Amino acid sequence: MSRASGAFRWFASAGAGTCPVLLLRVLVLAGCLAVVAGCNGGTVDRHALTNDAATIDSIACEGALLAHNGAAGKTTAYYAREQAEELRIQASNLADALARRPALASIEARVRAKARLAARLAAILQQLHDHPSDRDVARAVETRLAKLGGCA
Amino acid sequence: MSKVLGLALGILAAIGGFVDIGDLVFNTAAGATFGYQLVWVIPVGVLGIIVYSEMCGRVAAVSGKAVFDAVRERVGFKAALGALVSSEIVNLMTLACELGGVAIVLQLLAGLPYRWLIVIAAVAFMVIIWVTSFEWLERLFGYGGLCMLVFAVAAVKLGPDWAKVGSGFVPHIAQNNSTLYLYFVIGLLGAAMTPYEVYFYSSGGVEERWTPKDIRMNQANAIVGYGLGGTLSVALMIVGATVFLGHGISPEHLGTIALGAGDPLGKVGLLLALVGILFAVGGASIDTVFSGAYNLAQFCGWEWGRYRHPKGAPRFTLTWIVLLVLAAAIVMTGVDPVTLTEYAVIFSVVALPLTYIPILLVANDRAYMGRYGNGRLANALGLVYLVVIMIVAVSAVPLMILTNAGQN
Repeated sequence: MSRASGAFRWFASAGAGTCPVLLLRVLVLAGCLAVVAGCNGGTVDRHALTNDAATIDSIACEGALLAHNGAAGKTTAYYAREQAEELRIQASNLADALARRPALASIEARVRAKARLAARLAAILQQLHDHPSDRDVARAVETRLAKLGGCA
Repeated sequence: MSKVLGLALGILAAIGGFVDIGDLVFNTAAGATFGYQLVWVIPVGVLGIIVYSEMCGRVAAVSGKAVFDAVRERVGFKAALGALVSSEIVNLMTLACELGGVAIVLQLLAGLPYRWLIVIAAVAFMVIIWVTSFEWLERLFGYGGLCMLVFAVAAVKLGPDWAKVGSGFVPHIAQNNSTLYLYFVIGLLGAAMTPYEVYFYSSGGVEERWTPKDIRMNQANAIVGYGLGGTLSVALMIVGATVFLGHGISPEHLGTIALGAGDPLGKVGLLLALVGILFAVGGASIDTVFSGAYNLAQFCGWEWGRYRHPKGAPRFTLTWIVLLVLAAAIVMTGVDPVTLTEYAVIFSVVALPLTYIPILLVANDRAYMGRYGNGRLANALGLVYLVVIMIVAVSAVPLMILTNAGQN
């Protein structure tokens, strides 16, 4: 409590100082708030599930576009491999988070299902990463990812 | 004739050097999220950076002093220290983003391990800065950045609904998800008016030894260079709207942006986009590392400037080397450069008043500027933008929290 009020006094005392000093303190406070805002833990609620589901669809659709371009010879092997790996890591992290984080009882089954979907997505992207210049693999990956993500 | 050539080269470099990682991330993401609805923010931001760059370029040409020299002399030690610390924090964050961006693009081009590429990029920058003159540093990255024009070609090739693009130039508030919309407004303005640009611009003016005779060239450089550079931002937003929004993709990786040119233009488009991004973020790395060193050296009254041999300005040289090492260390921790970019842009928005208020004060100071002080138009625009800057500075962090840094 005393520390908190001390921090408040430190912040408020800027009123006696100059404008740039006050702004610097705002910047420090902003940094602390942003760190708090950026935390991604806690229980999965409906809102978080909606966001995570949208992220899974987005990764799938990007993977599908990447695979489509690979099948059409519009990309390089390095680009396809590295970009597929980035997407795979993102999907894999999401799968881990959705599998482990506590969820509201009413949506727990859906959360775990999304975790399995994200894990499947990561496995498909792994194929693209392993065979970045194989057009047949790219075509197969495109079809599966487009279906998984419900892409346009 | 040589003046015309110099002007043309300067403008080309300004176009190529306009876009940095913040512009890439926010413009593409804005297009992918809101289509063409946020196009209007780009000319607003571009006009703002033109107004203040012209002002600080004029100050440099008339007084031979860069922004931080003026800050220290005009606002006193304590306030200038506050401005210095905040600008150095934002500069270092931005430098880390740009350096990470360079490593990502090199990885996409060459397939080498990311962490090795961070080290290689940092060492390469040290060597390039050490052996290349200021003028050629600016031109090398500016001309390389012209490859970014591939996004303008891609935008045309994609055949967007130009009537909708046109209506995007009319300012309005989105009916759905207005909080996220406002977050993007702030981010786009912050990316366009990021403080290091004016620090670099004004110090560059001193490096190139501008005099009052160069004021017209300064104006042309700022207006035409930044103005045309802004078209790249519009192109990125169109690509974001057409390719990514159309496919239901929320671009969260730097490499995804290149896919936006590769999709309509094939392998050549993809490679040009990657090379363009490499030079754009590489050039911004140079700008930010120099801005950090310029600010500290000007604040402390050290010898500074790339036109001097490194031994002639040892503390300035040591500062940019240390900044590069620190930035490399930050990205080596594994922090995602794109996520860091969003934070860097939003924090730079909070720090914007610290940069722009002193410029406006000094550009109005007749003791400094004599007959070259601000006219009515410059003052009117400067004041309008100051109000805009204050509003966005106050709203940036609340909007970042409310939208979970643009995730909601």
